Amino acid sequence: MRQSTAYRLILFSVLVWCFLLFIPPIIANLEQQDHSISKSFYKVYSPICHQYESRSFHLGAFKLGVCARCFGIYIGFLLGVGFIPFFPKKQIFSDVLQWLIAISPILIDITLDGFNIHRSTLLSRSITGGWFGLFSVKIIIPILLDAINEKFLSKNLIQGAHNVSKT
Amino acid sequence: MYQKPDKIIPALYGGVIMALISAIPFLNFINCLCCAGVMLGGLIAVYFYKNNFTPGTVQYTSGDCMAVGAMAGVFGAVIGTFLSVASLALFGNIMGEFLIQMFRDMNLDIPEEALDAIEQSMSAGLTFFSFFIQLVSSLFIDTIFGLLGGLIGYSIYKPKTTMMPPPPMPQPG
Repeated sequence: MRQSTAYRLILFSVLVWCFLLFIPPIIANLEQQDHSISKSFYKVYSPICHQYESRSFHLGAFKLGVCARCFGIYIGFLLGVGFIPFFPKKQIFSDVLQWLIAISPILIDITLDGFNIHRSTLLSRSITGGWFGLFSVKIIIPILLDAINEKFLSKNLIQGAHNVSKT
Repeated sequence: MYQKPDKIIPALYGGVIMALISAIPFLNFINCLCCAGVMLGGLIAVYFYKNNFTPGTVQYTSGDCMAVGAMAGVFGAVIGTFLSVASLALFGNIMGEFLIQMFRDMNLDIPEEALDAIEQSMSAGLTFFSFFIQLVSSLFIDTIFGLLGGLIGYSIYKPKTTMMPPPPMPQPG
């Protein structure tokens, strides 16, 4: 019961986060003139992403809150959280090796682009980002579920049981 | 068994590293990789936290590392915001102008948008409202990504389950 509550909380939070990425261009498309409101929303994401116009997906005439690679990471993470109940339970690789497998496509894409061997595109950025997001779910979510249960849900259940026993 | 060590000091160490990465020009580009600098601060906080454990201490859990990472995010946001404001107030745009000139002189293949973004950030004035917005958004973002960094730190540094010695064999007779 506790596990499903924590899982639903995580799934909802990630859904909301991914939805919020579309808010800045939606507002920008609706605004008439100086785009001051949408600029404030874009500023929220500016510490975590370069937000370059040429490296971002667009909704209408305006870019999303983050670049294509970051967008891929978050969507990959969302898909991973949605499908994690169907992931195999057995861990084949160590966590460190899994992190290396997760980040390798991004590093290869960036390195090849840096040496002008291959030009990164929106597609390559979003796919490598999605790979990282999807793979990181397998490592992060079980730990996050345990942490949420330990820090928040188990105390509430104990307190609830204590309150019930007092009546 | 001894109680778990305090989380404040390791979180402070992680927060300071987070703040330095965020405030130092050019180094803060690391955060463009999905807040890698912030997550690194959370990971380092967990590293310092786990170093305080002795064999006689109760083992740390994922919840402890999540808390340490989140606290490092809070410290990092506050310290980083004040550092950014202080450096801008004391030194102005000297570092930014130096970097832009260096990039242009070296003819590096840097997107024009990057240089425009640096110039735009330099031209933005320092007001109480902008300081407040920066502090609030940093608190939000750095706490979340610091928390994730703490969880990544747990996945790397998690305590190995100790092998219990087998129970003694019953003596015959």
